[in-house]
Amino acid sequence: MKRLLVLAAVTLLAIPAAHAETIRINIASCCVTEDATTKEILPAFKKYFKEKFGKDVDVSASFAGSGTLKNQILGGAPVQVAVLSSELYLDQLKEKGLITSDWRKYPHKGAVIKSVIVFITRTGNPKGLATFEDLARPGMKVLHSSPDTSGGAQWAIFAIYGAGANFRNLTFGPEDGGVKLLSAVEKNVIAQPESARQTFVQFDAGFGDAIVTYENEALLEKSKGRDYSISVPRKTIETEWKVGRIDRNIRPEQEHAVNELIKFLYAAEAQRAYAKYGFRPVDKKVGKEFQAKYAKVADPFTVDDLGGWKSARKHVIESAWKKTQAR
Amino acid sequence: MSRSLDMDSLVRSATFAAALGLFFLLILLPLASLNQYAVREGIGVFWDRLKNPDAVGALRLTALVALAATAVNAVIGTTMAFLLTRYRFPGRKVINALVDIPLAIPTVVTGFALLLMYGPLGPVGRFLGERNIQLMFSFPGLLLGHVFVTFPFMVRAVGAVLESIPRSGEDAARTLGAKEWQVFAFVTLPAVKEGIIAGAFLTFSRSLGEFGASIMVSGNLVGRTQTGPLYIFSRFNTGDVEGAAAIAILLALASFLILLLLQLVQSPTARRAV
Repeated sequence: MKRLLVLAAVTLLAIPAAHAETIRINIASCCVTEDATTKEILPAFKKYFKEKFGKDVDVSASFAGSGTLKNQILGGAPVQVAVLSSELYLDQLKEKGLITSDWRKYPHKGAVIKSVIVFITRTGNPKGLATFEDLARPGMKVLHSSPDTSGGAQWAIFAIYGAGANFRNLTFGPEDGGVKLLSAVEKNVIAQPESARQTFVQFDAGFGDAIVTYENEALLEKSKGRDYSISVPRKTIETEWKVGRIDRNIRPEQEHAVNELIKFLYAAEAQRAYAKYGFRPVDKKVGKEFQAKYAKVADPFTVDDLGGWKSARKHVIESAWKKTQAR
Repeated sequence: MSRSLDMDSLVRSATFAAALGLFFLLILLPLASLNQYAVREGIGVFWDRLKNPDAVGALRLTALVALAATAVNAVIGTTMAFLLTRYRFPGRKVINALVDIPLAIPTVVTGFALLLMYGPLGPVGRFLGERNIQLMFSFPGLLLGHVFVTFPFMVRAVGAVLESIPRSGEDAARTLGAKEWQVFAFVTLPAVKEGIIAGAFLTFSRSLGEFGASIMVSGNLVGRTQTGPLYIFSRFNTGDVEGAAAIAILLALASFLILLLLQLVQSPTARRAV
């Protein structure tokens, strides 16, 4: 009886102790990664962490446009890991002291996944849209989301500009081929909703000949049985999502799990999950496995060809694109 | 006796204080924080943000759409209120309930519904498209969205006044040989003037803040079809919180002044009626 009581007491004491062992961390991730993250990566990470370290980890995730997430983190959201569509957002978090580590030291300078900017057209691509120049043809109706609210739209605008630009001579002036192409395409843009998702709503309602968006969004919508065609331009931009460690929000007991989660995002298992949902993995081996899924881009370029994020944002979006909006 | 009176007054002042306190905490304090953000970088920055051409364009568009929506609903809403209160017809109760639907459904859904109807997939959109008329992603599309969302205000404000005034005036006019339209134009309409004014103020201020339907149907093109609330949202997302707050303050202030004005213009008789 006495032993039974002791056992009961020990058990009772052990329960809260076991609970305390569960480490809780939060990840904020760009909304396009929601399915891959919640359905595959986080459950796999929990299993991996338990097997390898014998401890329970509980990762909560929040998803929104990258700009919104960045604002939430600036506003005090208790997030320890962030996967965002623009390096500028990580820079801003660094400026405000939330990030003190260097994400450029992670593999691929912090990029965990990639994609490219493509067109979604009506089934069979009836207007034969193959290059960004085609979008500039008179009478074409083009949709892309607003670069003020959507990371994907910033990439789309970089893609249009870059397709027409000469990378050895970026002047961003009216004589710049990129600026010319951008203004011609923007004349045909009929709406710029808040997010990539909303462009699909408008496209579904019958508006537009093409959406300029991420390849992964296009593949995802197609996998849901939507009847579109995807057109991959010969020359287009490679986009990337980068991971940052929000150092100021990390308590000592969380640090290990946070580092492991970031490492796990690069591991084959997570890379495969991302690929399953249409992203291009940064892991070379996993990339080979999924080769057949992605169209080869003949002439890809990156934001570095446009002078890096800071300069591209300033010259391409805040200056050149802004000017195309004034009528 | 005096003791219970004391209790009464104690309870009364406690309730009074609690209600005011909660109003302050739930409604006024959030608005005050907005103000703090707007002028955080100094009044010069605040003014600078207001002067931004995109902001001015967005505010102008917002005011124009709100005026147009108010005008449209003043006509349709008043007629509707008249029909619903002065006539008995089959289906009246159902229609009466349907009037409030715009308040109950998410405004994004409203926007999507309009896109479906006026887009190339809808019969109306196809009909207009064949005639090269494109309503969505332009001012008319925006107006359709705002008329939909603000529809109930005019009907309810005018309806309330109509319910409260006796029909004897109208009946007298009829007895004197007035035609139905004359009764409406010269007897009923002047009598519900206060209701129309109240409805107009409510419609206008609701329209100033409309977001969900606007973002779907306007096209959200900076400087062209972007309204004030859409501008605020995009400024906030680019990290320009001061810019967002400056315009937000202006819209909130405009709404406040409109509603205050409404209190002032309502004459004591009208207030009794409403």
